Amino acid sequence: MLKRFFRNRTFLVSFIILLPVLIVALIGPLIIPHDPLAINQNAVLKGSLSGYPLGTDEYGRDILSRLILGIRPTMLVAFGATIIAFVGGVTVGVIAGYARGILEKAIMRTIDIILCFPPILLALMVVGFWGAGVKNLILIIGFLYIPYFARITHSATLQVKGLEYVQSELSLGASHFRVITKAILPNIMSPLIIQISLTIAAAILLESGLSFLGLGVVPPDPSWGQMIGDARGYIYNNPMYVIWPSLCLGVTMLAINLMGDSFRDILDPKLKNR
Amino acid sequence: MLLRFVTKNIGVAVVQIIIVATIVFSLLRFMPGDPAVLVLGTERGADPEAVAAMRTTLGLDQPLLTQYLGWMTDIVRLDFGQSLFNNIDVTTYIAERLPKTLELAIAAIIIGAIIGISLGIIAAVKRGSIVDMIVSTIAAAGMSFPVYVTGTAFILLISLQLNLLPASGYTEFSEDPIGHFQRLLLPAITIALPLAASIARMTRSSMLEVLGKDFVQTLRAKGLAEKLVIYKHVLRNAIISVITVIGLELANLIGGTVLIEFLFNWPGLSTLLVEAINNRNYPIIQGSIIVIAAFYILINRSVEIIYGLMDPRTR
Repeated sequence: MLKRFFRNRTFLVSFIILLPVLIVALIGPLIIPHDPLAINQNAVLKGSLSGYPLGTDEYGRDILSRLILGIRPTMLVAFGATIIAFVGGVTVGVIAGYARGILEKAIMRTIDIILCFPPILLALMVVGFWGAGVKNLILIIGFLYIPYFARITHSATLQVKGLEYVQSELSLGASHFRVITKAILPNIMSPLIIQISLTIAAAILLESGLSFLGLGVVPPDPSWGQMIGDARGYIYNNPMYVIWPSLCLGVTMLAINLMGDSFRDILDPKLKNR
Repeated sequence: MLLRFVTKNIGVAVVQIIIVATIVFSLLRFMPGDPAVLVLGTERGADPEAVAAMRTTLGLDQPLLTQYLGWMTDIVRLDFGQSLFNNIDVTTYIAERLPKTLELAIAAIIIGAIIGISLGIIAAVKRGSIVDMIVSTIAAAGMSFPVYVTGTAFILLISLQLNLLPASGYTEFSEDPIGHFQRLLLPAITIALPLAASIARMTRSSMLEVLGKDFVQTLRAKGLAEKLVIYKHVLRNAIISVITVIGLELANLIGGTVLIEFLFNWPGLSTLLVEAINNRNYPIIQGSIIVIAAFYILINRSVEIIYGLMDPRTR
């Protein structure tokens, strides 16, 4: 299985880009040259100079250090939100598929309603009243993507439940938990993995978008989106200040989307020749 | 049959707007902390009289059910209360900002459709050529980059390096018509690019699908000029897909407008919303969210209706 992934060129390229990003996110605090919050009034909005390889921002803080630590909240939100969306969505989907009747109708209607609004609008709504911050972002974005996992799981549950071998397993006395883990989940692993990669990409996009608006990660802690938003006002003084975080975010997004594409190619051969 | 289809869609829109209004209502009522104290800040929030007065202003001093019914009737009358800081009606703010957002969005849709359809046609007609590959690659990249990253790149390149267009801001059309469009162009193109990318993809694949059909063979066999085959017959069949894309991309379009207005200092509805969130100006937050959501819902339903009119099978 793993071999199939590494033989795919798109996957390989995105993997080579994303692996260092993840490693830097993990070991960030060990390799930063400066304290990312340390203000230096003598070096404000400078280009690269000694000690500050990528220059400084409007408070004289080291851009490289802020870039390195800025990955962490983004990754935290991306993975945290995806885990919530996955666990919540699979649970809700299985319940809906098993319950049938009014409960199923109620769940699926609620999901339709959530899905019919732009995620950023719902996120702005919640952030607007309940405040920003990494914890809220994880909860909101996780909640917003529950419907996608729920839909996949729901339809798969309906399909698998009717199959003869599942029916016979049930009549032999297998527990529902066993049916869910042994029959339903393995059957929908591919669409779920594809959905996971899509959700991670969407969560990064939402987090950095909200932080860009100043409504995501709370300053002075850095995040790429927030750095771009802040640098917007100093584009004439130090253009490199806005270029670095934009470049990091752009390349990371591109790599994540490529990885999603490669997952689809590898796991869903039906789509390959489209 | 048609009437029933249209009324059903209007009914769905009304229900959706009621749901949004209810969510907005409950978010303020069930938020962690007292909204009145949060508006006043720590110092004045300690004064019980000021807090009580603010609760009255926000309409929080009445029983929940009365609040809810009052909130719903106010929405029907398009009355969102007054800004907390200067007693100007929220409706006045929205009426001033909404046209600017709509202008930006419509400009983006037009630009996106023009670029997308033309690139899609070229890619489909010259399938497998270098042009096709370039279009597909750019389309894929255009959909991955966050809009504000492309926007920043445009500002750096077109405004700072080449000095072709102003970097940001807004001028009234009546004051300076040329300056108005110059400032509209960059943000509109930035929002249009991801839209153009999806439209190009969709136009390409649906044109290829139609080109493979029997009737195209017949048209060619009877000696119709290739240009006529493509523009008169194939493109007409492919155009419905463009409407689908606009419907599908609407959520992204709204997201793009929110972010791009902020990047380019465009004084639209989204910048109003972001400012209001930063100042905890709850009446404006409520009003602008409901108006943006209502517009989104209405456009979505209209796309559905247009789609149903053009292709009766989808009703």
